Amino acid sequence: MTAPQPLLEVRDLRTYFPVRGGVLNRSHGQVRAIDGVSLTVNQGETYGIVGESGSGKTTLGRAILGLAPVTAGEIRLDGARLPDRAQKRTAALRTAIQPVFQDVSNSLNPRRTVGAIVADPMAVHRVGTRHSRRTRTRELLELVELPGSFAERYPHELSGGERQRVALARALALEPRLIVLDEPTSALDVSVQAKIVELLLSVQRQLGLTYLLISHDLALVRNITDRISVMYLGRIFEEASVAQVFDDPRNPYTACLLTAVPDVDDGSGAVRPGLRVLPGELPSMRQPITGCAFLSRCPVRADVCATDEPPLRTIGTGHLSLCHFDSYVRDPAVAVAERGTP
Amino acid sequence: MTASVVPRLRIRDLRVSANTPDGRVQVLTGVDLHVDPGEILALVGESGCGKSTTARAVMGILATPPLRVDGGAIELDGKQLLTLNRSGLDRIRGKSLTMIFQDPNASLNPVFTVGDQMEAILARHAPRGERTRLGRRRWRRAARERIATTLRQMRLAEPERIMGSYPFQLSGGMKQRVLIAMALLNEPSLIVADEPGSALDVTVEDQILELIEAQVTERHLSLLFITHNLGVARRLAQRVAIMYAGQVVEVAPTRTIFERPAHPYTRGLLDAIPKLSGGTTAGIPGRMPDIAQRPKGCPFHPRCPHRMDICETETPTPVRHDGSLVACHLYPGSAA
Repeated sequence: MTAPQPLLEVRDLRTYFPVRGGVLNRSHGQVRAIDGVSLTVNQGETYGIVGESGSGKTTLGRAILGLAPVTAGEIRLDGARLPDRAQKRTAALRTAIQPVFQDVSNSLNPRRTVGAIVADPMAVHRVGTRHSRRTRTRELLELVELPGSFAERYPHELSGGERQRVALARALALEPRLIVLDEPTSALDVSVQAKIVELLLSVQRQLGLTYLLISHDLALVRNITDRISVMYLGRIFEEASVAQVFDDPRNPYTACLLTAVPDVDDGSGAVRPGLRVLPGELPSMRQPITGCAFLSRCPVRADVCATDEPPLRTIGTGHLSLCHFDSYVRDPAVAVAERGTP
Repeated sequence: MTASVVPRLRIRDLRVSANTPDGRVQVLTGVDLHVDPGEILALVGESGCGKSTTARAVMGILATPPLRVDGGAIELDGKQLLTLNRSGLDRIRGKSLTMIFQDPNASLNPVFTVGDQMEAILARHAPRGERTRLGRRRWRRAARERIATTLRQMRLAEPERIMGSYPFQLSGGMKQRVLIAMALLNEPSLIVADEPGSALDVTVEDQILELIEAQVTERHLSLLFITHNLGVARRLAQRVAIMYAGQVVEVAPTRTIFERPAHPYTRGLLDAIPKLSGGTTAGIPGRMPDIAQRPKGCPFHPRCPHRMDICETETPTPVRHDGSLVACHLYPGSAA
């Protein structure tokens, strides 16, 4: 096997949004949507980012696309640093990363035909002639398993699944290297979802694409990604291969998430840590957090968690966890003693 | 057998149609269901299958027009609901029959405090003369106390603060708990729940489901739980009914549905859902039929891997098969 080639590298990324208000609309605080995220997505893999709402996963996807501000840190593609904003990126860099969003009814222009929607990125980037773009549009529709006649139709004539196929065809039009899939199936019914997942995987095989999949659906992420990050309050809490996260979760937050998912398949192999979040409220994202960000809801917290912010540290091969302890199963006193008081 | 128990809710051959520009369209083509006392029945299906329409028909809140009940019967504790007039229905609805909606933001009034909204529910169904007998002030104090107790049972700390709050001051999980408290306030015998918690994060949804489960057991309630999520159904329900294109295609105890699904659609759904333990998923070919062009015979036949000639012409009637009540020509079984 060849060594994995990093395609996308994110280093200590921070995105803070100012909170404005008052008569003068002055900034009086910040929401820390992403608070120091680093990750590497390798060529040809599917990297998953899971988290609940407010975890910063969507903002992270948007920052990578150049659609959200970057307060600090950097994003690299093929080793070259990307300008923060899409407007400042060269055309070639912009074509390299393409999005597929969750809400297809809002991301397809209702007044344009499917053919025009799919051909649009090529027209904007002046790829080919009008005629060659039309041929290419047919090819793209075929690739996403839609009949060529759909080019004449309007989005409202299509089902949710068909619209998501159109969105994928559009994302593929410029031959991107990385596709950011933000909840690509969560607006769809399960029987349709599975079809879209099959399509995403087959397109990836055919074109050698790299996917960054952002989702709250842990079961979906388990089925199609190679490595994942679990995010909470703008931070990565656990990063590992899919097998490690699902068969040997170490972080208490991951364990809580896995317990909470209503699964149709209990028993056969799935780890159900039996850990539940405490009913506490989430800390305000406006203030810097003292101690661990998960403190208020962590069922296995210890004294050290209230005072010291845990580092994201390696606890196994390719396995990172943001916690003072190596595992969520523990006797707090023992674990602290073993590591020494940090 | 459950035949000896009088079901709390019985739906018989419920047929609902909608007036559309293309003429009358059958939305429900004969739904048969029952919920026993103390039982949670999950009604599961994909969007457009008619599960919410069934729930709304039970509550008597169908949007009429365009929708209309064409036939069938709905009985609550043996009492006919469909033939009741408005005032008869109003005595039951909100009292012994209540509903929890999916979207807390759409079901709470933004301009009244939670306490005022809950007090209105109690006032609406207060026994005749109770308020004059006690006097306004004393009645109100008693009502507030009862509201606070119910909120506390929803594991909401500081009920007084919540009663004085407006909905926008509460988190999504808190609002969902308030809605559950509202549904429980008048001690109903049947609650219809339309996907509660599904708008929330999984960790919060998990706590909401746990709360609902505990309250149903504690109060020996019956619950008709509408959901698109089979995982939620598995977690909560004793029995599961699967709907497709306006009819119930399979009803069985929860274990049976997941271990030995009988209907090809149920099997297809289970195969399509990604599982935490991994493994591949397979979608169901084709798409949900438009109810305006419902296929003849079995509505699932165009997508069914076991399609036979008879499926294209005759609508299967439900038969008993291996613990399930299933509407499919694959099973000769005895007519139910």
